[in-house]
Amino acid sequence: MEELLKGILGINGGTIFMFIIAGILIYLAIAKEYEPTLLLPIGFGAILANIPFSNALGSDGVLSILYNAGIKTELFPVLIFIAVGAMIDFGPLLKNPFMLFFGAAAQFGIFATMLVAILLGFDLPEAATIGIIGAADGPTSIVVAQKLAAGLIAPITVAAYSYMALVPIIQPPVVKLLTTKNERLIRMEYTEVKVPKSVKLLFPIVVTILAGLIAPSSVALVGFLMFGNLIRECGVLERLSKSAQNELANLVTILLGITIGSTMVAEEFLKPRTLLIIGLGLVAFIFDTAGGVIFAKILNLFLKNKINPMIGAAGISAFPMSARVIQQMATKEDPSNFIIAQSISANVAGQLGSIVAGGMILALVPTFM
Amino acid sequence: MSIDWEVFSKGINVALLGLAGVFTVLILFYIVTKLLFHFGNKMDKDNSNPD
Repeated sequence: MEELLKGILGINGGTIFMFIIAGILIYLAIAKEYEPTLLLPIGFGAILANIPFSNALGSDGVLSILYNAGIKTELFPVLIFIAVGAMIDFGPLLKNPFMLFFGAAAQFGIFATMLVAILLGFDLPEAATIGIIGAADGPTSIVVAQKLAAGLIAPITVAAYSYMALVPIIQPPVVKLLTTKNERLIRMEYTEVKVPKSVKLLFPIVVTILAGLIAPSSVALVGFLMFGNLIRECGVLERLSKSAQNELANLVTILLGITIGSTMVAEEFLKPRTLLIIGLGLVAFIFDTAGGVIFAKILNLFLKNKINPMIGAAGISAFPMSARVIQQMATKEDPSNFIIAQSISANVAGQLGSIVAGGMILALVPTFM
Repeated sequence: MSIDWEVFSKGINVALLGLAGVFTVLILFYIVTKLLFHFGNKMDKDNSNPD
């Protein structure tokens, strides 16, 4: 009898609170469609992990096995990168490589938030891990967190995916605050450029070598992303490309989500610092957006053909959400102003920029520890 | 709450070097893309011109 009741008797306030949090994540995934592919598995994983005496955790628990095999080794996020690479069309960026600069500027939030986190009492690796929420890139956040502050992996991942879903709410007020109406009305010329096949093929190879030589710690991130992209672009591996985009992405996403959810154990998750981390994640997204917009405004001081500074905000990695938000804002100001092509270019650049920023953090932080 | 200024100064170094590193790598990507385009277009022209 005691054996049958031990689960019920083991319930405490923390368990109930975690069930509520898991419920909120599942609700957001289903009812609001906020990143459902991840928030739902994360929410359910949190339930599995918080049932008292859950045999899903522990040395023989399936979730612990998945964690050790897929997260500790970075296998899941890296496999996701193959899938993401196979999904990304670098064409818009290759047509307009100038937009790469916005992909760099919009990483400002990562580093600014890291400094804020240090001021709030976090140590350097923890602060850098919190800053990486601003990469707006789940797999990069997981890899960096796993390497620098594994204890923070749950709140970091939940914050990263939640804020990515909230880009349409976070970005517009920041962009509006930093731009004038006249700036938001700026039109940008767009000329269609044909991208030679050789460029599409060589780009992933050259970028991998270049990034790897400068920041070897980014090889796993950049390399697997570009490997996926090469499968997509080579034209002779359509079956593999489709598998990477569908079966691989779906399978790994299911396992990644539920495994991350399993790290949301009440004793670890219910700490004041979790709230602080989630708050700092929002700061990171705000700083990212501001960094991109302000960079565009600075460039406009020197450019003859002005850039619509809203494009700078699309330099974050949340693709294609951010580009869409910027186009919606432009259309709101002037229904005949189309800056979607440039926004998408900046958004793709952000995907590259976030991974490079992750590599930089992984390379630099250990040298200053 | 006390601020550890030593950690903060390390953070400043990481932030400056990190941001500079991201810009450097993406500037290199920009140059590489331009070069690839230059040679890619040249190759396309050569291939389309049988002479």
